[in-house]
Amino acid sequence: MLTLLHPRNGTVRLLAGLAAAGFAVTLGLAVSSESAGALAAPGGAATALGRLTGLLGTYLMLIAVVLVARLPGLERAIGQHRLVRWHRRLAPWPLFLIAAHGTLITVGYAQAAQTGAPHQLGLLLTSYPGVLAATAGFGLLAMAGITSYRRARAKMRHETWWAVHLYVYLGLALSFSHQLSTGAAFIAQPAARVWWIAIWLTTAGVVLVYRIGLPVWRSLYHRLRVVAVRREGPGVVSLELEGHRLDRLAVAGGQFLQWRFLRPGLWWQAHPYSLSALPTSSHLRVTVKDLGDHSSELARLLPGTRVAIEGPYGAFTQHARARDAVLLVGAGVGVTPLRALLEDLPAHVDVEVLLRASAEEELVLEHEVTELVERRGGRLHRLVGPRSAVQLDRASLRRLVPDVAERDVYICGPDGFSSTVERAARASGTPRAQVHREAFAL
Amino acid sequence: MVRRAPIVLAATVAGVAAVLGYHPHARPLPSAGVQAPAASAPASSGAGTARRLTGSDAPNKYGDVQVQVTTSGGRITRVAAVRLPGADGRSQQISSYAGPQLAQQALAAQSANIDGVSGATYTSESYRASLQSALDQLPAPTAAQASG
Repeated sequence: MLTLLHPRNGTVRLLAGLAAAGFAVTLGLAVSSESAGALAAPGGAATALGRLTGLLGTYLMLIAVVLVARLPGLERAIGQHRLVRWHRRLAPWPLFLIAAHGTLITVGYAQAAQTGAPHQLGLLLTSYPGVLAATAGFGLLAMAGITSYRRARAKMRHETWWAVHLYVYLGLALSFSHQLSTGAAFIAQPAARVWWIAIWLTTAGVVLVYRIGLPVWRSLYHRLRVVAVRREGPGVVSLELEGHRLDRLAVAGGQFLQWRFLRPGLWWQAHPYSLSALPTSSHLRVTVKDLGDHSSELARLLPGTRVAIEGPYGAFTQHARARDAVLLVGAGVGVTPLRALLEDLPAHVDVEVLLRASAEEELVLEHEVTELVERRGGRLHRLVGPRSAVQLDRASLRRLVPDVAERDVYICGPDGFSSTVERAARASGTPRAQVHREAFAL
Repeated sequence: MVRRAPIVLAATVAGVAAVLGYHPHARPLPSAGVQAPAASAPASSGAGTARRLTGSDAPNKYGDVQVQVTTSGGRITRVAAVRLPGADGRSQQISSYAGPQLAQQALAAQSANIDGVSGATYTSESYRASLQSALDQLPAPTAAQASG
């Protein structure tokens, strides 16, 4: 069967085109406000470069915010996993550009006034409206950047990192006023002002609506509460939740939500967990492994605890499928989104499932998966044992699933595991577009 | 973290209030006036009474420039800007150093034919225009000399 034309590729191209057009407009603004005379003057080159880096850095920073603003269209077309990866790759650049902006402007102005850079810096901070606030704002952005470096982040609790990241919004807000009040590109250029205000308002609107408004509305509407907590395996629990009109929660099998358990000590942090079954109109279920201090608290949740949600998110769904045959690969608790995906796949889709665990009791939800696979005439493979005993390379994958190249491969597990499986599948001839991954700890 | 939250929030609010509450002291515009040194000024010979002439308001996209000229005996003895661009921080700073330089140039040139300050193109152009309009108010120099 021919690979279906992915509607999502069209969306991605359109959005990338829009972002590039915005970049070009911003670049145009920066260039049009310069003149040959000003460039030739003392400090002119540094000042012009300083403006350019400031405008482009800010534009890219707004793009980085929008990438993770949970826009439903973006989430469906691209998937949160990839969006977060793009955000991580992009975000350092605006930080470098904005740091260069501050340095170049200081140096350029100092040259023009024939004064020293430290003196000029003092003048900028004390007598230029909004510059002090913007500098403080940049400090907040830089903190978010530094704490996101792999090494720093590894030493930090997820909650701390998240709280520092929240300050990005404050940092951006603090930087806004000096842009319009002292930005040369905006003085006496009404069109430029309109463009700049428009992209800021759009970004702010997107964040307010999709990161705050929609989740709050959904939480209030669905009124989820915990009704049961069940142990599934070592450190793994399923939470059964009850809610109002869950059929209206447009969720596809394989998606996850951010969960916020409204209980002292837990209410302020949200964590991503996949649904381990498709919701009914009144109930849904998540299955969670004890990966840190948060998930171990969940085993002690009392029935009746209210729950706020953000989502559903993720493109790890049957809509990403290009073929009518799939291979679902899950390691340990990574089986949870696959379990929901199994329910959601159309009846005609041929299914192979590969479950990996280091011990039998870690094959969580195995009975449910077995039943679902049998009912649709699929095949289930179990790979149980220590990593040294169980190989997962190209040869073993082809022995288990000879036609893996003709299948969509869905992988959920720890990063290292997923990468191994992805490499084996790609080496066996599975096209990149047919490999779909979900990390269970984002 | 939860126990620390109130402290962090309080510090955040205080920090934001401090940063936003800080209003840059609007630096007084430099008088930007330059007077010819007494020695170089021609001994006023009775006939030359001091005149103060104010040029027209010459606007540009950063603000207005207006120049005031004092003449004595047909010579410019003092030049001062009564208005210079200062709406934004950058304009204020440029005015603070371009103003005196432009006044100095006008004194030296004894006319509106001045080079201007690089990096302050708009201000220089407006300065020239306002200065010229002030000097235009002087009686024609030939007529003045003929009668003297």
